[in-house]
Amino acid sequence: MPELNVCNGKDISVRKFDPNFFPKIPCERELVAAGFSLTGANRTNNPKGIGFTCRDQWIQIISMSPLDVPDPLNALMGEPGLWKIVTDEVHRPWKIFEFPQVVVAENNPACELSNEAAKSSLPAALQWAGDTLVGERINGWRCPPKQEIMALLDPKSLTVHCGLHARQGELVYRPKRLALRFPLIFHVPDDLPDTHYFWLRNLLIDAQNRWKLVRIGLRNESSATSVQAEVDLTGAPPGMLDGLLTVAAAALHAVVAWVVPPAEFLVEQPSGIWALNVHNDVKIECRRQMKGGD
Amino acid sequence: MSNLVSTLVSLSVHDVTGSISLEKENIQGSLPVSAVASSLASEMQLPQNVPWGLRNDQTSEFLDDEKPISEQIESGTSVTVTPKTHLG
Repeated sequence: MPELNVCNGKDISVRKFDPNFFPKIPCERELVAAGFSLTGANRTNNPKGIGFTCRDQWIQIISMSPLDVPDPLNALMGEPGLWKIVTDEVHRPWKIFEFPQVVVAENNPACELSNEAAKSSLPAALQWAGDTLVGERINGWRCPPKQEIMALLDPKSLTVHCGLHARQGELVYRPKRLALRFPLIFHVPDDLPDTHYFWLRNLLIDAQNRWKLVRIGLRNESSATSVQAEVDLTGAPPGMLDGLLTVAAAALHAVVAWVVPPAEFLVEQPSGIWALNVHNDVKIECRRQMKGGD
Repeated sequence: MSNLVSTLVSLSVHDVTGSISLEKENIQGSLPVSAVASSLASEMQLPQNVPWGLRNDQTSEFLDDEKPISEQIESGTSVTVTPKTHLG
């Protein structure tokens, strides 16, 4: 599989979307059934606020509907599928489900039009997105046998070493759950200064916006709060798993390397660092967020 | 608690000359020794162009690079960060 850029940053190298991609894949029926109006080669929208775009070799399904629990960091942790919450420049949260074009096209387009299994990858991916949009469990989906998953996943891809820091991820494998998960911060102190918490929270939101596929959240377990990153592949169509596992591991590596050094700095440094000071209004907003506000 | 953070180990760490020491906490127990050794060498500002291993100071045994560190030593153990070199 060609190397993919898993970053949403502004410095991303823009690659041209192949305008002939969709005509080669017979998915119009599924898109129309999902409520999309096919108005262009690479962009469709439907009246339910769901957009469908293709950028930089990634297929993106976007839901702009208001969120019940709009906290971008915790709302979707542990939910099946690739939906995650990102925020725009005015901090408005919305949901996105994205996957590389190559994982549905790898065996597909014009060269193998007779391959029915390959042709079904994109419609199956759209179905997966639709089924998991409202956080429902995937009825009837079962994890492939573990040996199949382990054959697709290099065990070394679950270890990240970046300078002073190292993290070991895990494969979450249950009959109805498949995910890759990494710890970012093991323990967020209860008495973390407000300003540090403010910067930590914004660092994590920025990371979640910046890197594709990865959800980030704070988990409270046994009275300790940790920060974790995950890519949940529960419900993934079998034809997509090979490519998705590789890309998910790469995205998680990028997040660990990008987040852990500054996050550990924020967690371990004592209060009183002048450069971290923020305006009192921001502190008040931070306290509100700590108490569960949006 | 999640397996990810359930086993954290602490180590007393030295370099081979004994001139650099540090107390390291919150090392993820499921990490392979090779990753722990590399990050410790980095923190001790040891050269990054050689592979590093860990030796248990109590038993003088070298730890297996590929196995998780918590399977090989107890938390609080003293270890030496050692370059993995050989003669010839």
